[in-house]
Amino acid sequence: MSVIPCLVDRWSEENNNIILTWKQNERGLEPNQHVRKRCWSESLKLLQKIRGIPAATERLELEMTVSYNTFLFSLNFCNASEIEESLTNSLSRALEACGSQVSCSDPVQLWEAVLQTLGSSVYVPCVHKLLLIQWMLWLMQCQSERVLTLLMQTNHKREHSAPVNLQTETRNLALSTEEDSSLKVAMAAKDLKDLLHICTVMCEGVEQMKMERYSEALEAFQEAQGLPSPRSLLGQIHTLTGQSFAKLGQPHCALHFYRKAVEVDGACLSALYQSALVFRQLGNPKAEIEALHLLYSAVQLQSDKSSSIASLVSPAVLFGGAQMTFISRVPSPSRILHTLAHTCLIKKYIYFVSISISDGVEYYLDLLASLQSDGKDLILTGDGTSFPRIPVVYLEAGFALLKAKRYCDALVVCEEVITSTLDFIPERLLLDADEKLKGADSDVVLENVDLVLWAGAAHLLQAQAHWKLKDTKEAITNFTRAINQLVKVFIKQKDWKQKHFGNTEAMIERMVTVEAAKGQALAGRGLCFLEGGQLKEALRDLNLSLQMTPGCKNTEMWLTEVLWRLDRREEASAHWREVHSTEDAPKSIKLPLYLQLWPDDTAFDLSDLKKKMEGYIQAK
Amino acid sequence: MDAVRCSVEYLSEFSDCQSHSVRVIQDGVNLLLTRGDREVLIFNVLERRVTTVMLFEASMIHLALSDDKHRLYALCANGGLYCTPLPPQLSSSSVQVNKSPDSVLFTVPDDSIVLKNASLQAFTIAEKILVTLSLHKSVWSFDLYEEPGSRPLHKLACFQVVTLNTCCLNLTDKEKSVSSPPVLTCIYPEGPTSVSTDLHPHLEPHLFRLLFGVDASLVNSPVILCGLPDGRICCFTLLVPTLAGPTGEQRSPVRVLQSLEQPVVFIGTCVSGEHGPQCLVAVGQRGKLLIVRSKQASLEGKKADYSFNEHSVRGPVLCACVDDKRLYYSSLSDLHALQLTTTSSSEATETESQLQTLTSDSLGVCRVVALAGPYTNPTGSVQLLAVSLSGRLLRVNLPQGSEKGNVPRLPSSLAGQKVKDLLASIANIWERAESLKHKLQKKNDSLKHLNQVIHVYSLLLDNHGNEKACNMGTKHPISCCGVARWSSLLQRDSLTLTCVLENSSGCTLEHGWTLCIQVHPLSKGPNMEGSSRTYSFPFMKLDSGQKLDVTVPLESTGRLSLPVKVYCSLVFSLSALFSPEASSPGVSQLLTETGSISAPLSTLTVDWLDALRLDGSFSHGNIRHDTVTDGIQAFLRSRGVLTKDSDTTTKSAPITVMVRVSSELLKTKLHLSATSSGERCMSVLNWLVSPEARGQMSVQSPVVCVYSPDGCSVKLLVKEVTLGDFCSDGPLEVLEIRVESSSVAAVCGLHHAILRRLQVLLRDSAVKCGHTKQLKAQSLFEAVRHVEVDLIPISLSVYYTFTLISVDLHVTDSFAYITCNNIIFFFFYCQSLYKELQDAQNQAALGGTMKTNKNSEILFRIFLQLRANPLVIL
Repeated sequence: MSVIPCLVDRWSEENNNIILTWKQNERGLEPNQHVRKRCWSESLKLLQKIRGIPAATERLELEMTVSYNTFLFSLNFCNASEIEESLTNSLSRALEACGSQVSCSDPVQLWEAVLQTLGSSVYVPCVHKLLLIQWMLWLMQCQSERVLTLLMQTNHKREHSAPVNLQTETRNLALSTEEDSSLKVAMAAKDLKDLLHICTVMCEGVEQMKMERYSEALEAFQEAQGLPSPRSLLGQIHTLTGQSFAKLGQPHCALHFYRKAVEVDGACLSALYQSALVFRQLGNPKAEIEALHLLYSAVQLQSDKSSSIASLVSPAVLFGGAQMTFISRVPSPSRILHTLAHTCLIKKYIYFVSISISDGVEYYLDLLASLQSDGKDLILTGDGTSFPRIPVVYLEAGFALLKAKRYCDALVVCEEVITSTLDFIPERLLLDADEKLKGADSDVVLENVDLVLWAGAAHLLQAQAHWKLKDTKEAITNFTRAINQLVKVFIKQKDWKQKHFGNTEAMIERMVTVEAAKGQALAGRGLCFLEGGQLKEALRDLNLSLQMTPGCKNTEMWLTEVLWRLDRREEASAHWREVHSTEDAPKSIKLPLYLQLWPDDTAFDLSDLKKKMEGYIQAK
Repeated sequence: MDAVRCSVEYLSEFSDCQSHSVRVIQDGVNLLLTRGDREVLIFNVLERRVTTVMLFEASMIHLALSDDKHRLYALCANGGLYCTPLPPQLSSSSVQVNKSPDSVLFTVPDDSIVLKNASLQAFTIAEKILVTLSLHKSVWSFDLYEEPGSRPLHKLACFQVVTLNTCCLNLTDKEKSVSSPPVLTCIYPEGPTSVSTDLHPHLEPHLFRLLFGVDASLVNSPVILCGLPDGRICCFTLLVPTLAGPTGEQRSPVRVLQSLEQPVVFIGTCVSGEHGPQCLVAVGQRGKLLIVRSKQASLEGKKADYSFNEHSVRGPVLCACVDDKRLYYSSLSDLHALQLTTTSSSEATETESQLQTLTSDSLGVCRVVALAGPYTNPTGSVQLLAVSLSGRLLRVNLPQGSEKGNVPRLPSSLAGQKVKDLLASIANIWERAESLKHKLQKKNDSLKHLNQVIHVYSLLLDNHGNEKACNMGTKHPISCCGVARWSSLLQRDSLTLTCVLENSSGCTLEHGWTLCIQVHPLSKGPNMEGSSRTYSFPFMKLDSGQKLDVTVPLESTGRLSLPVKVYCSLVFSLSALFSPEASSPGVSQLLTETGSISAPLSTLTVDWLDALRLDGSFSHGNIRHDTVTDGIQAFLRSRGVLTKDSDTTTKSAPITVMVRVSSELLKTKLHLSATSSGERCMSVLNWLVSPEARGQMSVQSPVVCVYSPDGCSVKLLVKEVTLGDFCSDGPLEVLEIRVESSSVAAVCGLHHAILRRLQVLLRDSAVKCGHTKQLKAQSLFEAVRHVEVDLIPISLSVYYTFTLISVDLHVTDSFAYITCNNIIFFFFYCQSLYKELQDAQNQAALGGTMKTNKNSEILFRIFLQLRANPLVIL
């Protein structure tokens, strides 16, 4: 007897031992990445040994099986092109063993040759195993056309009457996946085929989604739902289905699928995130906040436990990086936290949803803490949404603290903003509305306006805090500072509000915001003066404030009060009537959160004024 | 400018370095050092020895320690980023675990690669984030990874910067940009909350905020600064999420701070102030120095700003480091310390003028390629660790700033360094001088050699010119003589010529001389075209008085063709004057064309007499099988002459030929002392047969039987006869030399040889001959008539001929010869001969025999007249 059968036996045994080690590891509670690496290197060595001697048909089955195993193990350690190279090598050797000449290195042509040569032989199961590997590699590289070509070659017996379609081809794919018990494999070909099938269908759907063809995408996902799949994958399919429905304007269907996704896979973060988006769209703030809260908790839980890749071939590996981020995109934890905190405050102070303010404050404090300490969470690449500027976050936090009556904390947070912006405040910032600015220059100007605005707003918030702390003097100082900062932004054209000078939206927004902040600061200082009895100053400030932000009802009231106290009763009553005749000015929702101070502020009791005014008017 | 006094300690010396990838990192008492090869050396400064050698798989590009200093990250040339834990004794540096004097070799295994990307250019680690910079398809990308992370590393983010489209910058300085990798520096804001890490520089919060923005400052995030090879300094905040731009869009976090327009070598912070370093310093490779300072908000309420100040220092800058006050940078020639000023806002107006006067102090340490430090040691002095290009690890102790006023005096250690430097430069110059001297020496040698060659050559030419006039007895300073000998090799006898070159001149024949021996058969047969051969014997040296023996074969293509002329000459090849590496291509080309000069030494003739064998012991291989008849027949046929009576050959009768020479003549010529006729005969025979053994008699009888080269036996006999009627002065004593053999070839050959010998003998002494007068009156014909020649009629009906000797005649003018199977036929050029014969009848001696049916009338007549003519040589 020749030595070759002996070698075949020995190598088969070696292969089986490797697989046995792996299977034990896979079954274990804590799958070990090192075991996988060892399995890979051993199996690679074995493959190299086998390749050391010329290819022959009696060893073909062994060689192809070992190749298959090696490729599966190598997924985490090599990139796709390296594996593909090795695969091409294997195919060439298979052809050599059968005595046919290998002429090309193009994988498509090579496969054609392999399928023709070995397509009807006893080696079909092995060939199909390698075919699965090729499928997997092309799927990883998002080369669906090549996958289609490959599968068509495999299905060559069938007549192509129907239009060629990857889905139908995949559905109709007939691979012989019977296993040879004497040669063990790391993953059964059938399992791999099923996984590849579902992933291919999902890929198709995602591609359709990217092209905004949502109904086609929906078809693909619905087909995918019918296929056997692991839990996490099913959750993702449900999420994607939901997303398609959401895009098609069926939010309730979308919510249904998101729920299904979370039911199937509790860790399906994207479903939670997407449902939060849908809830926002539906105007259900409580549900939105709840969803975001759940998402945040889930993210925190997930970041705690290290995600170990237990299975040999994970969907995450099969979908290329871009696909995977599309499928399971979730913002970074800090972004979620900010959204959550911001939503809480917005809902409470703009939409007057009854939410406990302390939650919002806690979220902001968490966020600030994570900004200070936890670097990695911040720089996680999220779904492409950008994070608000840090001073804005600080100001919002300050605002929340103020609202939660934690004035001292608010003072500290605002002080941070003041110190950091101090150096950037220009002496004077003249905005020429006529001037057309190029992108970069415009950005610089906007940035400068922002800095002034932040500094002013910080002073404003501080003044508010002092005011609340009954420290009128300090409040006046801070209001004055705020005014001093804010008036540095000076607009050349007086009538910029009426005319549009071709300014960008952003610039107009900034200008409105600055004006509003000025108005608030002046009004605030006026109120302080009023309280301190400096009526003339109060009158001046309130008048100025009204010039800045006409139509602010509270300011008008206070102005009336001032006039009254100044014994200018006629004027006061005129004002009073005027305020009551006009409707409530529409609130400028465009104002940033931290400037949404005034509306509910009832520091000054107006009932007394009302009584006085009504009495006066009636007396007249 | 006075050199700043600093002392330099040599800590260790390693092999040469790759200037651009030398890195030194100090970690306590340990020093991590790479020289751009595969090793990372861990050097203990206290013990002054290498404790550990870490061997990587490829040569090192960059090194860095992790934040906790437990892991070493190394970027190798194979694109692999390795992460390996430091040996335990390093992590706990105070405890000396390893006391053994041998350094530990630690091979970093393959699987410690955490990243493999061939386009990786640089990396740094901060805040447990690994920042890598790679260049791929003209896009610089910064990748952020979690550290220490799982493998493969978890990528956190990726920012990209497009390379500048400055082809001029990239192309002209391609090597430079290649040789200077990008510089990544992480700068922390100095503050109460900031992590105090000595691995990364800090910057005072004010300037930090101005430079890197409100967001970074609020988050207290370190900023990664990157000096790209195209000169741009990019920065991005490490720990700030992707922020919204002013108009709400997402903006790239990477910002270009400034461009140095030359590769950036170093980025750091300097000039300590109340809240930390107050300047950001960047140094370009060609000496551009960028100092970024903050300008305080002035009283007028002007916005606080920062200023970029650019200066130039003398480049190239190889490496740099900073301390509180000074920037240390190394150009190749020196290490400089540059005092950086703290320009406050009040001095803002003077800034420009002040900056122009930035002066750097030379520290007098040259060829530093990597710097680490500076560190302040417990005694308060500042130390720099430097690696020089030649691989020396130096510790530079810097002078204290307070000592500035002191009288400059070199401390002893610095003096030692200076002396060392001077010695090194002296050594360099000495080396150059030595090589120049060597070249000069070579040229002199060549000239000397050439002179000697020319001297030898003129000597040889003199010899040659005087050859004819020269007496045989005067010995040439450089001579070559040869003796033909029989030798037996592999049962085959062959005739060889042993030539002896004797240098009896005063000068030495140096290398380059070659002894050339040209063997030229005189007889030319129809199938012996170009049968002359040349043998060259180059020799290394032949001192005065030395001899050189060489032996050359005389046979060619398996046959011996006598007589042969042997020309000996000395040839000098001019290329020997120059050693191969020294000669410029022009000279060598010149030499290949006229590469040698040649000087004739001597001309020898090897004839039948020389080839005679006294003993009969020769192998049968030498016996010629073709008979004389066949040869002659063949010759005649080739000449178109048909012979009718060729069958009448009588082989039985031996052919005899005889030459008569006046015995008195021979006696004088040969200086024979013998008185008796018998002895005289023997002497003459001896002279003929073995001329080289003149003293002792090898022949003991007047008759000698020898064998010709082709194996025929030949009888040579000499006897004295008296010719009574020959001379007017009375009877003349003549010696009759007779050759008898059955072989015509042998007879003819020997006859020719004897005549030639006599010719040479007589020619050399023609002037001295006194007997001629006595014969003056006698006509040639009379003389001829009296002498009978009993030349054996040769059975062929052809003419054959013979030899002619003509004293003082131009041999070449008067006859030609043709060989056919070793038989030599001489054809006379009749007219000239006749004329000459008449002119020189008194001296002439002619030998001839012959019956001829050849056409020339004159020839025929003369031959007829000479047919029976005797040959008496007087």
